[in-house]
Amino acid sequence: MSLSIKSVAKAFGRYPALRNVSLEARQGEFLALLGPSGSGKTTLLRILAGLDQADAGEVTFQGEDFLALPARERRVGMVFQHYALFRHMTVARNVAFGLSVRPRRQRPSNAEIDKRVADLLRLVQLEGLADRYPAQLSGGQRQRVALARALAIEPRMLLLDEPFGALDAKVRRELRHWLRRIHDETGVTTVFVTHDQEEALDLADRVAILSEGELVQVGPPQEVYENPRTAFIFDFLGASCRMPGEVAGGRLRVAGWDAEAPAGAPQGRVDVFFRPHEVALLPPGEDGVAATVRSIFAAGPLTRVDCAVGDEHLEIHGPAHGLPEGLAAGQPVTLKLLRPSVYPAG
Amino acid sequence: MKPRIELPGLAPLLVLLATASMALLIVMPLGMVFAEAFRNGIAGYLEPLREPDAWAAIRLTLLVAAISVPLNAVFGIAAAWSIAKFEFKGKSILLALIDLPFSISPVISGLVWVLLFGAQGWFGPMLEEAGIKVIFTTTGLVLATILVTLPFVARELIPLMQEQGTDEEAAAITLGAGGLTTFFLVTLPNIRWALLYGVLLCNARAMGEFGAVSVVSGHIRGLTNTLPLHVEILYNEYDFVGAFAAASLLATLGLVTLIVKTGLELRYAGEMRAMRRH
Repeated sequence: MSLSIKSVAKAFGRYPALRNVSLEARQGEFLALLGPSGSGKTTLLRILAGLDQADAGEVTFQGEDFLALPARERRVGMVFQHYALFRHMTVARNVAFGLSVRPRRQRPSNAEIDKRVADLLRLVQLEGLADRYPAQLSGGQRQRVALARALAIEPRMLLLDEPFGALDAKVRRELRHWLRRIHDETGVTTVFVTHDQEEALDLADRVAILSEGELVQVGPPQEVYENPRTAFIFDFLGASCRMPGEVAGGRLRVAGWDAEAPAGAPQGRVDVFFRPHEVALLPPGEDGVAATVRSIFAAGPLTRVDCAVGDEHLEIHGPAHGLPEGLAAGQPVTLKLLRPSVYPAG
Repeated sequence: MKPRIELPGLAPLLVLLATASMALLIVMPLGMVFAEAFRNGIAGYLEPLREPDAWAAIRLTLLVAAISVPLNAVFGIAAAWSIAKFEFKGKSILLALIDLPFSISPVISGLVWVLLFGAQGWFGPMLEEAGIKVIFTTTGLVLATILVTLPFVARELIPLMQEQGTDEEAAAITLGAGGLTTFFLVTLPNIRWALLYGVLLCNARAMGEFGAVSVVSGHIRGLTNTLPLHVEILYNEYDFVGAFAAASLLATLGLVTLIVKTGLELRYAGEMRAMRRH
């Protein structure tokens, strides 16, 4: 393993930010740290960068004790949410910074630095903007400069702290794919912090989910998305519906519907979670949960069907075509849960 | 375009009121100073300034400012740097201490030195034995001036540095820069305009300070008389032209400070906005 984090803990005063976190990453892996704000993901990243000190635990990188190295000697490229570009320097001088502050003996010649800056600006597609100041750039351009600056020192590891958090949705999606491409081209081990589950699932080789300072699940995006270990993770990873139910003798009962319980389901009172699109809308009387349609909103690739089950209100996403005939507001409908996830009642 | 509030009728009235009070409170007294100084013509104006005592006062004023302003600039940067960029216990106490000279009378700022180092002061006898004189010397004047002008640079820098945060320094360090390199290449350029402002204001106050300096000076002509004290002495001796001529020098210093500050603002407005907003 290239990066190995063992039992790292950190508290700010009495408030624990990280509790006993252990995590590993392979050489060249793209790892996402995902969690809501206050989950400790940024603290973990700053510990990796050397900007915060861990209270306990070990971090080794390529076999080296990383916590013993001061930040400036770790050679990690860090990208911040608010860019942190040097505002009084041009784009070119920002990118050159890491090379030009090296001790004289290790410093490349000016010509070499110029060439490297030009190469990097080409890589991040900002060739014409070398003489601009950060204030003259858009948010997306600034973040690309920040990435070029981080890559200039040929980092052993790239750390990104919500790098697209301050950008609008469209730019964010563009930069996301572009970042993945740059990662694949450079092959540098990358740790990426985000609170946006779609971003994490879309980008990363593996996703590590943090909640209240603890690592709660880690795995490839698809595995994590399809098998969330807890109700919190299920809910955090995307749109979800919840209904109370009960498991006994291998059977799951939810709102009058009796079905085979999923493997490994807990016994007794449970919360049944499912994704709004993992539901079949069937004519009344079929096998499933009996519900009443409250309203239908059909626009775009999905049809949103608001249903009532007793007092519960559910928002189901059905296909744009192929809904049962006669489906209309006020009419009964059967909801067949295709992939219910069952967690102990919380 | 800045959003504007339209206040028909009221706005011109407010402008008029502000202009009138400015004229009454600032322009008129300032005009008086120059009118009185030039009462006997240019020759009459220059004559009291040629006096050796006047020269000594000018030189002393410049010397005191030349010592205390750089010291306070260094102190201000250090204080603002630690307050804005680090978390530590007792930060609010340090902030309150920096503000203290603003909230106490300058006379007190002078008196504390007398109480500490005067002949009857805590350390007075000890210093006398060692042959060191503080009160009634340039040293005392410098100490009093430093105390009074202590907050100017720090107060100018703290809000700006707090707003700028620590991300740029963090970025510089991860890129391999050391502490000093980070300070000189990243932090200092980001605060240079605010620093210049602070130094200008500090300088204006250092040259113009009267109360604190008056207490520790002893008013020894040609030795411990600064320009503001010189003005008072001449005035008390009914030498009005001389007093106002010396006062006009002080006023000119203030005006030059203001003009330099305004000129810088106009010249570098764009860059300064970029510094703040990024």
